[in-house]
Amino acid sequence: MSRPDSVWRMIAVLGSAALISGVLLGYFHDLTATPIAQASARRLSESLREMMPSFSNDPLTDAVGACVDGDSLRIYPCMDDGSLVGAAVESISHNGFGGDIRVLVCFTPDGAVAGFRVIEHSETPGLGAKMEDWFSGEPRRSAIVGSGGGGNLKVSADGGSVDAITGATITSRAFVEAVNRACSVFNRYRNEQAEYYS
Amino acid sequence: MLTYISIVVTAIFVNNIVFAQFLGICPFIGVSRNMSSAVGMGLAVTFVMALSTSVTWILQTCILHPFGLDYMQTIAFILVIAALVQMLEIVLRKIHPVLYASLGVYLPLITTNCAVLGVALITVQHSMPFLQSLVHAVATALGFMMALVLFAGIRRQLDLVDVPGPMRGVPIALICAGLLAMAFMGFAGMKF
Amino acid sequence: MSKLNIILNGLINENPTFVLLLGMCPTLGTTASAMTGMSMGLATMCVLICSNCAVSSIKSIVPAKVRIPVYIVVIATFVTILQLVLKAYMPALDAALGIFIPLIVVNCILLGRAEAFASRNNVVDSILDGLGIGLGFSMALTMLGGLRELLGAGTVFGMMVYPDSFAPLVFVLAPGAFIVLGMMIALLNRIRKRC
Repeated sequence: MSRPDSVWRMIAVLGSAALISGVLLGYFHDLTATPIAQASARRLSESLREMMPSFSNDPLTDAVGACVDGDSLRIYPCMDDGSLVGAAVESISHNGFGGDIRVLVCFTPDGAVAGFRVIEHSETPGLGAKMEDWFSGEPRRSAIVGSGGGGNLKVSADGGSVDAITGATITSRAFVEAVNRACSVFNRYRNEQAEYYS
Repeated sequence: MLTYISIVVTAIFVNNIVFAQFLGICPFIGVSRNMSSAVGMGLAVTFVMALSTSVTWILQTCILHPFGLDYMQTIAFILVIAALVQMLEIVLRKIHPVLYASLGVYLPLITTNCAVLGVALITVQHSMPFLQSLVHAVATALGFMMALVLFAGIRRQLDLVDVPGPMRGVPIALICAGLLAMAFMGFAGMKF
Repeated sequence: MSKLNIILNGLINENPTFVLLLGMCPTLGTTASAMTGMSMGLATMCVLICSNCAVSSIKSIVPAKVRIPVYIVVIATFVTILQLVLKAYMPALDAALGIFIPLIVVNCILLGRAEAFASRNNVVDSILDGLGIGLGFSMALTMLGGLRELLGAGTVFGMMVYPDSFAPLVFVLAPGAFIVLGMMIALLNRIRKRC
């Protein structure tokens, strides 16, 4: 430096750096705000379109919240011409091996499971992480899909009909718990709707 | 009360910041050569982590979130941490020159410690209440210090052993760290 | 140094992971697969090139006493821009890399290069240095990720090489990261001693 660093110069440089940075970030934030919001909504609507029969409403805007055991789950009803053709419930279980497991469970209007997708998990790669593929394969899938809305699925270790992943019983139990919670929430929703309209 | 015990045990053992979350590795390898610097670094990080998590929590809750400035988290938090470390340096030089001299060059390095910024970000991501986040930060830092002290003990032993040429120094230390990480995996899945 | 030498320097002689031993946190945390390792490396390279360029452009204006905070502001700005762009246009990648994206700001490589190279050289050289070091980092992360994925899951970039029931799972978990990195550094030490 050809001249001594004065305090004012330091403050000026640091201040203008912060200002320019703030302006740049504000600009980029405005630029990316819409795509960010669309990105998360898109994933959900894609899953719904794959697993549910055709519907004419927007399940995301018609979504309803439901409380169970201190967690709030979300129900996405799918309507066609005003009548319910199915619904998806975003369920969660806190008892996964590595933390929370979020599952999207799809139902037919009479409460049977139509399909499922694992949204988020922190399970062990190679073991619990393959739960979506494991439970989508036969015979596990038929034990879950099409089951009545009882919400009483259990892994075979607990005397139930669903085979757990070998070596990942905790993950399997948590997955089944998430599906059961979704069932009970959807049944409650169905009963409330029936009472409301009758 | 049980929640706090659960947070402390989880942060120190189950989700140890070094062995399970891979944060704070640079000082972990660089500072763990002898026991005294390991303990000194651990205590300094504990202090900085507790203070920075509190300040960033307040910053997030009172300024960033209400004004929709969540995207400024990274830059705001790192500036807070840098400022805190600078203040700590100045205070320590005045109050405890001996400690300041022994910590030496490690003090400014706390600014670039991924663990400090990482814990601040994790805390706001999980939206923990203030007291829980403070307990979580202190417990995480204690877990970091424990990892550092354990490793310092192992490295002192390694210095006395005949290690093959290419493995000397960092490689054998990393392999020992891997074995330690394996031991800590035994805590995985523990719940209260 | 010639322009090509600057790039090669970052790639081999001063490889940030294997030689300088900088940026260990993302090296261990994002290399569970070759894809995430490579993505992390390339993301860091983008930020490194931008920050080197910016630091080199303003190096004559910044007083020495405040240079570290100013560098931090510059690096953090580019990291946040990267975060926003990834969240908007590549959300799957953002989810896979998780907390390590904002942690690029404390990656010792960026501050280290800003201090050691960009603040003393012109803009073009700084950009090339960023490119070289970034490529070196990406190469190291890809190799590490590929090795861990191959050993621990039997796949490389998602393509199966052998059935994963034969794969020791430990290599994609935490201990495997430390062990594979240690072995790789040892191997490179051996190779460098010979040449």
